[in-house]
Amino acid sequence: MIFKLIPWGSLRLVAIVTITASIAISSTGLYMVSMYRTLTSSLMINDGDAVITSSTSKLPHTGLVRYATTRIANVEGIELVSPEVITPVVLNGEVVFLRGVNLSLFNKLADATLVGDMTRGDNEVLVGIRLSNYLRIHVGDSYVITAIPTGKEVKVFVSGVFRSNTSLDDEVVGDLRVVQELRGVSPDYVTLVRIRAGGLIDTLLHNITSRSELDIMPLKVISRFGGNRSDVELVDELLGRGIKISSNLLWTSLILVLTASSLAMYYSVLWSLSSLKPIINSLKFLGLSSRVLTSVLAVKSLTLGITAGVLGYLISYLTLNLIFNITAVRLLLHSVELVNDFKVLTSSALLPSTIILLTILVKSKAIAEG
Amino acid sequence: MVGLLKLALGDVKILISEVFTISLIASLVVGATALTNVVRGYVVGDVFGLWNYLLVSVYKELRLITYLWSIPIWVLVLISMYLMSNYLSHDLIPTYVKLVYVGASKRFVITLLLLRYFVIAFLSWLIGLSLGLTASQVMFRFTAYVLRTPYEVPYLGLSDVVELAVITNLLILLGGIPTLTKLVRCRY
Repeated sequence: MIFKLIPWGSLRLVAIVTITASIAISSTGLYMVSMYRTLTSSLMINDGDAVITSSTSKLPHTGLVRYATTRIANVEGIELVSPEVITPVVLNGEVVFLRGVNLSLFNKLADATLVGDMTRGDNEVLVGIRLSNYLRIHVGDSYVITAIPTGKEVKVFVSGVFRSNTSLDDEVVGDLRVVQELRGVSPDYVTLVRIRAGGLIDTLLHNITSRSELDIMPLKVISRFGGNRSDVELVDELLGRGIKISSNLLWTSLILVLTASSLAMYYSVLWSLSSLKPIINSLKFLGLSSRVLTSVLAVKSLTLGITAGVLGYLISYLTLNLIFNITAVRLLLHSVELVNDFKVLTSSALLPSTIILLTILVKSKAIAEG
Repeated sequence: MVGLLKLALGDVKILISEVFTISLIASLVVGATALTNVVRGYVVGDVFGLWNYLLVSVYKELRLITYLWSIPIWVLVLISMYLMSNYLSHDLIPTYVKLVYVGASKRFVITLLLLRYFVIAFLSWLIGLSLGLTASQVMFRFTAYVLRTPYEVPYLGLSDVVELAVITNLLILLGGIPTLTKLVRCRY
């Protein structure tokens, strides 16, 4: 009953600012989490995998490492060793990643559902489902692909389309040797070496690195491979810079949104309290203590903050989902999928309510004085 | 003139709260524009042969990502600025009605209201612009330092400044239309 003394309508302004702030926080947070997930998972297929990539390259996709598959494979406990070469190619007028793998390991590599057949010849490829939808590629189609590092052209036949629910769904998968040739590297060099060893991966990696007879660590970028070396290094530098600046942009936008929203909420509460002055004075005149008044305002604001936070998160999620469905949002040639994140929801709900509550508590003396 | 301005603006404390609330919301969009410009500024020249395809593709993706982030922020800020400006004269309506009651012409009261809206719109634009731009530059520098990434200067072009001025003023004035209508219909 006592809560009805201060009508919800008088807090409408705080509600507008709080919902605005929550939507801004949620959409930036969800955006950031989704982008990071795409960036970090672009090389991962299975969560338990360890991926060895070049330590000196700005971007793992452009770096190269020398590998010793047989030596690693001999280490006890290792279930799978997969050397992979990634090369950008032009397919159907778009730049996509072509991943060369040992195709006999494909079934072990990813738990994929395949439509069509596994590749039989060197010039047959498998296409991920998202890429197939994006470029409208079907089983049985033939395309000429141009390898970006070497300029080599090769006609490929799409023998199958697969769905693996991993980053592979945005790529073309072909034979390791063919892709190494297109990338312009000798058979000793790959973009990454994937190691799968169940839950023992940390221990095994420690064992591998501590055994002096194995020379796979430290990893290094080779100095001689096909193509113009200085161009590749510059491209690596430029791409790495672009990705780093983008990640910086995401962090900056998050900090900016948090700061501006917090201050806006603080001032909106002050604005509302000024508008509430006549009501507060009347209630005090009728005998309501300042403590009760502050408590009523605090409870109402807290309810408002949490409701606005959850509502803001839902609106942001639905809006971003719509945008992501309409536009093909891609990062590093991989589709960005919107992630539903509990931490973002918590921040969106708790931050506004905490700021509003703190402002009311700070201003409780002013409320008491009317 | 000073008296007229004082009458139009009312309580300075309330005015400060109003201007800062709107400015800080406007600064969100200013910051978003300045940050988007960092990626828009990249021009990839045709110097890497076929590699250029990859560079152009990735930079196009990055541009789209920053644009898509800024679109909801823009829409959000526009709606909330309009709604907030609905409340700008909320506290002053009784005063304006009293003025009409004691004999002030409606024209005079509408002039007072418009003056108030113009001052608030101008201050919100100016403060929002300064705060948003400064905050985005300082924060970008800060995150670049913490993450050890390259620093680029978030900036606003002249067209962005003009665009923001037009949008802020227009929205705040549009938000004042319900109050103006109430005053015009007042039968005192």
